Amino acid sequence: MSAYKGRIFGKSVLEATFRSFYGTDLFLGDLLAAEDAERARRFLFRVIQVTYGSDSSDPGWAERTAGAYMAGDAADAPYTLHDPEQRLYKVATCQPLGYIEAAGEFRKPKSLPAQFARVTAPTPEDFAFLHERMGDLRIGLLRSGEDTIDLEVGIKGETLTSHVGVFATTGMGKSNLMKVLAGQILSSQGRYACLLFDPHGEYLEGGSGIRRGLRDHPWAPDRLRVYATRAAGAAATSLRLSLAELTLGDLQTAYVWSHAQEDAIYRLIRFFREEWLVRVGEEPDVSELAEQLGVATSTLQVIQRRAQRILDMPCISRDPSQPSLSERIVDELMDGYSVLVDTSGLSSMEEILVASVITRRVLDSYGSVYLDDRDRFAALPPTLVALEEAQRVLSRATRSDENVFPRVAREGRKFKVGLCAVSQQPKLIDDELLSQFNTFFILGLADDKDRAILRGSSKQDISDLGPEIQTLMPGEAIVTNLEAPFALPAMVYLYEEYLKSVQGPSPLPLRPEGAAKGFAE
Amino acid sequence: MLSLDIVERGQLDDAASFVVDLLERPGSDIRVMEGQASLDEALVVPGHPDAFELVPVEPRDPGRVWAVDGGSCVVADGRSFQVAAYRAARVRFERGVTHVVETPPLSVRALPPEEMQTLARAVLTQLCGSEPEQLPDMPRPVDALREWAEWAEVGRTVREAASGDLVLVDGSLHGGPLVPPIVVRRVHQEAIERGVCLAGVVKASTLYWGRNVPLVTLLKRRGDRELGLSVWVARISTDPVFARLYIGDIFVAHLAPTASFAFRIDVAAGPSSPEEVLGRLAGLADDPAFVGYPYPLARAHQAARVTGYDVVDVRRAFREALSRRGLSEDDIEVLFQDFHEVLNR
Repeated sequence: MSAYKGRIFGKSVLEATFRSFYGTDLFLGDLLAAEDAERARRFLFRVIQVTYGSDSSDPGWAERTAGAYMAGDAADAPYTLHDPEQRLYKVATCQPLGYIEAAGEFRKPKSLPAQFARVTAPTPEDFAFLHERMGDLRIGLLRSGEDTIDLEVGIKGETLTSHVGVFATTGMGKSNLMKVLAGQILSSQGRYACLLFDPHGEYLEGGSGIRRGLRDHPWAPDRLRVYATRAAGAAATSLRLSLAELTLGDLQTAYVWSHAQEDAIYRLIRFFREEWLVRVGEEPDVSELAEQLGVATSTLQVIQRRAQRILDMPCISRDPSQPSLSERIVDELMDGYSVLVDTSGLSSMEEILVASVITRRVLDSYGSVYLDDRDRFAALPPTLVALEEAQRVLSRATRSDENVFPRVAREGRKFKVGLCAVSQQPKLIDDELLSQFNTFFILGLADDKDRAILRGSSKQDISDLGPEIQTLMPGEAIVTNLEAPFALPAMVYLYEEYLKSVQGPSPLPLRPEGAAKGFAE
Repeated sequence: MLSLDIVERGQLDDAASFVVDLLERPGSDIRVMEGQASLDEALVVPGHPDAFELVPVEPRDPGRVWAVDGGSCVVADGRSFQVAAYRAARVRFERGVTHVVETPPLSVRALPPEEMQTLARAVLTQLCGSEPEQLPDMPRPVDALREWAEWAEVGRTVREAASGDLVLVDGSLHGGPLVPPIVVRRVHQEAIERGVCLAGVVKASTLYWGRNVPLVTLLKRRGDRELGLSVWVARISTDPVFARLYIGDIFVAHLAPTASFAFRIDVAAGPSSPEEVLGRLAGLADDPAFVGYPYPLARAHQAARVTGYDVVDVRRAFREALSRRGLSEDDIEVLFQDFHEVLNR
């Protein structure tokens, strides 16, 4: 591929256009450079649109020529456009990203490059200024269109607490990205921690076929703790949460309650205190209880069905003598372990219920340390709580003072707890909450409404990147955060390939020969 | 009298009747309306459009092809004199690719009538090989300069072409009223000696049937009707008189199945048969942007063309040259002003 792409001929500080050769392959998202020798500056651009051009001054030329081609096809006399490279060309519209001064400093685009400046493919040196901004959690390589540039893209682990959004439609690589990100956190050896709720078991096991999971990560034996909400053998600890830990807020987060149902629950709490859930769940005569409470039987029947489901959950313990494992999970996170909770087998609402209980415990515990022991707080690892289909708990409809997830989005940063919202439908997330997210990993998103909500909340201007986001292939991503100078195109590492590069814990040194003989000899 | 009509009442119908009548009333002869072939009058031979045989042609590999065309403009018109700019361009096409495109800078000449006579004599002496007995009428000197430049370029190209090459000329091979027949004959002779094929393609033909009905259009219509979407040629120069006066044959050719136009094509007698040359031309007429027209000639046309931007640039440069020579801005303005521009505002 030739480095020479064409010459700039227009158009303004905020939008550059250049003419390229007929045969030059240009892709949306291509990163390009233009030399301004007069000012010793090197401008960087991103291709945001590519159109046809021809030397004909007749605006209808191309349309008529296409018609002539078609007429020839119909007459079985195929025509051939001669010298296309001399008559046709491409025009690329570019978003100026900025320029690098002679001293190597990157500046935002506030001036034009020289007109007719040569446009070339960038060199790794063009992006050297990004090195220090790429942080320590590297998720892939800088992408230029369909190629990659030898520069790792990532985020600073410290910014996990200002929240991460991972947005993509199905099959675009969300799970792979999450595994790479979690893998990097594992590799940090306790500098950062994450709490992953894994509804399909794919984070842990990798899913089907040759896919690999976090279990295969070299640091998993040392740094990963796994809990399962169902019997999982030796591979995981069975999760056990105390029924007493469930709050009304957890129930409100997990389920949609009508006003009548909420009113009935308040009455139940007033009558039975912390026993209300067991009482209503085991009540043989719902009608009589309803009559006692002064609520409709049908209302109480709904509450009873849900209570019974909760009481039947294997991970919910009614026995107060059995300690909840949520405290242990919090301790492990505080000690720099990553925790994966396999919630496969639970319904969506039950999964949220479990996630809500544990996340609230995490937030409250970190908050307590923040208030009570600043030295210990300073040593806590920034911790990321990752939840799939996060729109379930972050939508406007679920906005509630009792919902812990919006609380994490608003207050978590102060307590070193960040939220990682994984979603196929960011348009359903409350835009006020979305604006709290510092980092977006945007993979392929087909729905313009999804892209629009991200445009409004992104920390970089991605308004011109709609076509690129729409055409992202699996694994291709746009990364935006405050640290990056512009929205960074990235090719996310394939997790299986990434694993090959991970340096695991050093094996113990071999026992010296004769050591088994003991000191006595 | 006030009227909202844009034309005099009834005159459009009269004009339309004339055209319909022209097309419907049969003529009995074919006219070649040009002061050509050393004739002062039009060449007229008996003939009827339906009598010409439409012969299918198979496109073939065009081989190496050269094409020459000219472009010109008037830089300044002082009524008593003109300043003209012109050039002849050429291209070389081979195996589907244009390898050479030569667009020389414009030649600029100031042309007062007496100077034009001297210049014409000098140029034509060079083109003809000896001083011409008679100079042609030159109502538009710039056209004469352009056509002479074109034929000079055709001659140079024939000399540089290899045996078997085809050299294409924009226009007929008779040279027209501005180019003495000896010029064409010299180039033709050289082409024969070098084994080079020579052909001319005429965009605006002056072949007529009867009372000035365009013959090319009639034949195109007939071809569409009788042969449909196909490549065909009709030999027009069937009368023996053409053999005496022309250096080759005159055809009307439809060079691509879906082409909207047919063209008059002159094929000079030479190393290849007219059928072979026409087949090569059909092989060149397959570009979808110029369906039915030999592509190298289209490229030569573009290379020679003096665009509106070029005219503006040359005029500005000429004004600067006048200024450098001491002419005041007011005088330059007077020189360039045209009262039509005032009237047309």
